Amino acid sequence: MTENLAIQCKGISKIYGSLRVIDNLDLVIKYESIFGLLGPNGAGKTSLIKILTGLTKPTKGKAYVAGHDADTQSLKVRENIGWISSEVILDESLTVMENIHIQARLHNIGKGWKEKATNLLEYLELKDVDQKRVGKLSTGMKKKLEIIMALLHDPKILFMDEPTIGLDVSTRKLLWRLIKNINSKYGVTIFLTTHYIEEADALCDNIAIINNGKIIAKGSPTQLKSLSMGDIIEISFFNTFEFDHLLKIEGILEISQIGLPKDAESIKPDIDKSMKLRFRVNSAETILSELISKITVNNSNNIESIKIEKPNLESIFLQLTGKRFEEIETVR
Amino acid sequence: MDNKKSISLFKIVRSFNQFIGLYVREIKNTFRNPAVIVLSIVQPLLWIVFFGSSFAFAPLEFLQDFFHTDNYIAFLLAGQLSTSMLFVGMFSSLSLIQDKKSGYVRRIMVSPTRNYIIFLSKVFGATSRGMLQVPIVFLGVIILGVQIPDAYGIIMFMISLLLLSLGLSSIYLILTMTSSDWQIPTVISNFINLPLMFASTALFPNDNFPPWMLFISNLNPVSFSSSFGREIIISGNLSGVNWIYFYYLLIFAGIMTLTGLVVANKTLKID
Repeated sequence: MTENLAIQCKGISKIYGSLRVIDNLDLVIKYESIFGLLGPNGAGKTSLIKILTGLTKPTKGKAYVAGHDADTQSLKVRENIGWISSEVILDESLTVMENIHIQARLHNIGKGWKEKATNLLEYLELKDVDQKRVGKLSTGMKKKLEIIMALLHDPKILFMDEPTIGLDVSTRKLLWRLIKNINSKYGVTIFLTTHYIEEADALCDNIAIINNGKIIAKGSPTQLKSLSMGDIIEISFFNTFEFDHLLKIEGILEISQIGLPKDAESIKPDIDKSMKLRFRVNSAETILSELISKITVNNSNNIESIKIEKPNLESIFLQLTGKRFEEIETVR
Repeated sequence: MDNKKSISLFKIVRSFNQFIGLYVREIKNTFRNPAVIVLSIVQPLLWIVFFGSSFAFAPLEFLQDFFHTDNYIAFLLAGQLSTSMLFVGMFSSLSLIQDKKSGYVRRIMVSPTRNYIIFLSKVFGATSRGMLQVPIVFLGVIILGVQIPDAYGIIMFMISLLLLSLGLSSIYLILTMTSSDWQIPTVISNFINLPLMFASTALFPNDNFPPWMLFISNLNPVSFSSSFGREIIISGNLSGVNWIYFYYLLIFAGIMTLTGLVVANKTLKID
């Protein structure tokens, strides 16, 4: 069973002193998939990667990577994995080819390393700079070089620890394409941690959300989105009005007022009487026309704008952890 | 049985490959850093020229009585090169600290490389850096009128320096590997380098040392390397050399390197 799975964690816990950073975690990842681990800072993502890459031992439980025990067979595990970190970790005083050569030696790749390196350099469009010192490359190029080094020994599993952090949007999108291509072209299983929710949504076949060392939800992006309790309709009004009667409409689960603070009216009562309401509903499509007709029955010109929000990973994350991803980014 | 042998051979070849990869990186980093090159070559020459000239006008009788030679630079040469190995050892520690901080150690550790390979590459990298200055300094002292020993003498002196550097680099690396705070090894290195230099026979004979300093000097590997090299340089060959000095250095380097290997496997961790 373990041999057929890329990664399997059985009841893993990691405790530092009195701090339990991983708490009885179970996880199964199939070969050739792209798996995303989402979680706020200190949730246990890095600790889990350290255990899976054989860098630290679990306090309790077992982890199997590429069919090998990550604790007792860590060298075997490391033969079968590639790793890309959140920061660029390269020897900047050496050339591109020299960096690759060191990696080839660390993985004991024989004479064929140069051919492999050349193929990957051509694939990732770095062939022209192979004799250039790494310190003179752009960040995007350096990231590509890290990918080449991680793939050089044909790993079964590629660990990517927040690989696009700090990159500009275009480089990030480029890396997304590369990650997808690597997965489909080379059949490499990808274990990705990220705090870009759209990244996980765009790339991953399966996602797990980790919080306080525990997996609190897992599944495909579609499955996770289905955990959401309905759609959101956000309506802005020019003027305030009583809305309690709208709760009687079938399919409306909750109404909340957002935007201005409660005492806003006392601050500038004559200037701004606008209002924004958020309706959580079973299905925005089926309820919208009835909702609008009830709102406009007495005042047909009160609606300023309407926004419909379908369930997304952001709302699921918020629902499950009580934290927004932007908050986490701010902390970072 | 054959299978077991081939597995062992594979492991040896793999370890050697990994060591060469990391060792070559150390060497390339040395040669591509002009500051390191200048420091490695110019600093020992400056020492020889300035410190060596401090007894330039001393009476010959004084030099003969006190230094057992009529040329203080000839006396100083072995001591200066031995002292340099102290600082070379410190650089091995800084190199590991830099790799730990930049995450490069982690890059190595997620490959199938055992920790002791990282340790060995650092030790031999630092030692090679130290040995780089030996031929340069020898060339420099020839110009200053020092008689150079025969080839066997030079080779044995260089081996003794290599042993000293292996042992000292190992000590500094052990300090770095066992410390979670990167500043501690640097502080300790700075703290012990000067006492080790002065409580040795590197700069002066220890005949007039107080007992406590003599005790340190008699255990200090820098003294053993200085005395061994000095006997070779002054006599011009290996005849009459006290081999105890050399064996002491051999044991010192062996014990420290083995300890470093064990410590590396047990304690080298990423932060």
